[in-house]
Amino acid sequence: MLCPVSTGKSGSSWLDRLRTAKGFTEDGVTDLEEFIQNPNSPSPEMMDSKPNSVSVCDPSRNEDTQLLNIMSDVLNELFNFGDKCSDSTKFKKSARKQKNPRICAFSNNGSRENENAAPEKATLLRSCEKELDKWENEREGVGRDGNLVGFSRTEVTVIDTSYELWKFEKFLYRKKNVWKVRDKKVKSETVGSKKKRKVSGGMEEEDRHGGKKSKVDTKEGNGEECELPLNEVSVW
Amino acid sequence: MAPPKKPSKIKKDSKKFQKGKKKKKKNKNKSNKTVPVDNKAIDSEWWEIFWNKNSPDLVAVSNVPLDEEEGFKHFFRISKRTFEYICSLVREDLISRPPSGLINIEGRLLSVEKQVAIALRRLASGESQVSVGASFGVGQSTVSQVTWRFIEAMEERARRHLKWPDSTQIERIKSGFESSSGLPNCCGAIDATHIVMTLPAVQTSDDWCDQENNYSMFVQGVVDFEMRFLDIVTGWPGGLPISRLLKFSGFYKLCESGGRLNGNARTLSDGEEIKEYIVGGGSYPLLPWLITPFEGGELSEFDSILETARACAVRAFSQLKGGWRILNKVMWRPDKKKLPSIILVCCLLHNIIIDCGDRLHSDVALSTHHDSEYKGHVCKQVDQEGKIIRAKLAKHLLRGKEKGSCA
Repeated sequence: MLCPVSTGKSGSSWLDRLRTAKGFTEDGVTDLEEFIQNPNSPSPEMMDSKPNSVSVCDPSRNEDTQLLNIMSDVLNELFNFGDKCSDSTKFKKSARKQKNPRICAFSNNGSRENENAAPEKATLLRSCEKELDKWENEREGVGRDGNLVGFSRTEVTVIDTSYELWKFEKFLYRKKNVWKVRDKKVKSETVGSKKKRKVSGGMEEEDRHGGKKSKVDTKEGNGEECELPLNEVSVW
Repeated sequence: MAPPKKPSKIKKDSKKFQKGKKKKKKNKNKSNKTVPVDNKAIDSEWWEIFWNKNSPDLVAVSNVPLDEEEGFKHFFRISKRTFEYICSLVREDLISRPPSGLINIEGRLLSVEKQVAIALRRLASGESQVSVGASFGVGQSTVSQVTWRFIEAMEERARRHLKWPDSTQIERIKSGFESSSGLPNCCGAIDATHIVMTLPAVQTSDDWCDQENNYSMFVQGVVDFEMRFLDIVTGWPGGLPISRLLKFSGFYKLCESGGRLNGNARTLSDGEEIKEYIVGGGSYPLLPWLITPFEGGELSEFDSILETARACAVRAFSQLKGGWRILNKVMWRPDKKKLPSIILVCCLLHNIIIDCGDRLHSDVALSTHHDSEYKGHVCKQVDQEGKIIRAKLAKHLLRGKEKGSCA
């Protein structure tokens, strides 16, 4: 059985109540269609420029607001939304991104090698590495995914004796005659073990030698399905 | 109720193989303290057993030499002395210790010598693991494990046998090329070959399909006049154009940035200066540091001189694929992460043979071209500076020839 909460204003419809709750004045447009179609409807901010506009709350709806206040207080305590929002009409979901992010000074060479760094520093470093990778990908021109639509991807393990660390992994992207190479992102971003961080260093070493490798070229052959030769040797 | 601990311990033991070297060493030290094992002694018994089993007297149709020392070379490509050297390189990594040590079917721990012999035989013959195992009295999985352990150990311990030469060695290489081909200031010859394999017919294999419709992996090498590898790169799919394979290599980047082939320039008789360079075939681009033949045989005399120097690289790959037949056979669904290591170790062994002064049998190298299935594509990329350098070289060489013929 429904127990409607007394609003103290028997004449107001659900639409009026909703509008009031959202901060619109009741003396505005009454027709719903007209309200939706009119893009110039006054916004709550335009309606009231005061920071804590208690005035928008109708004193006749005290019970409603009280209940909402209690609920929002509980939610604030539970989820730690930040500033306590006592007025439900002014409640805004707190932004997920930091408004003023701290500048992260990141040294490409030394910091990765520093194995004695404190764990907090390591976590910070990892997040910075992520950001740096993201930035580097964007710097290449179009974003990685946007650039490589329709490309097939192959993981290659390369041994190149020209580098100090001979062995490294790359992603090779191919679309018919076009080949592109990207560094394989090392999982240390999530795992962060010492060993994997070392591997990451190796990749850096390579880039230091040669810079980015994304290049396009034409290829004589094609990559069609092929028949297998017969003189096979046993499984490795 | 607590779960039984025994199975996890067994698992742990079996996992020891998979773990990193540092951990392996730790375990070794631990077990060394608790279980004294006398397998540091050199084992020669394995060879007597192997020779008796595979000697030419017993095998009806055989090309195995009658002489025991030559027979050793036939099976393992190296002399007994070089074999001992290789054993000394990898002993620390291969030494068997219980409980994780490799055990043969008689329940005895495998000696380092026997492990090295198994791995070398597998690489040299390219025969199946089952047949290699049968000739040593071990199972297929032992051959697989032993070979991989050997490859890992060699990758780590034999690096010194494949590195770019220092300035003194480079001067020696330059004079070697000059006396064999007449090319002044040449530091090496470059070539590449395909290592063919089978892969499952799934979409992910497509990128490994090359222009001859084989699945293959490239190995590119720069070699000296003695057919010794100075630099290699492997792991890239065989379908890449040669020019792209070169550009993806660290060698290219170093040369372009002046980090390699940056030694003494040579002043020619006509006063022209020639910087250091290498020579390559027509499938490579003409660059200031990479000299290739003239297109369409414009100067066939110069091209033949260039070809003499380049032949060192062609012969080196024929020797590599002939000596280590695993690279010449179609590998059955290899682990593409491991295959580059196998290729690298074969190159290391190729260099060790030269460094130790071993001489291979003449019939070991392939009788045909190392990449006979593949038609070379001519690269039309020509660098203007490279063109000038090539012209200078041609002028110098042809003038020298004319003088020689007049005299």
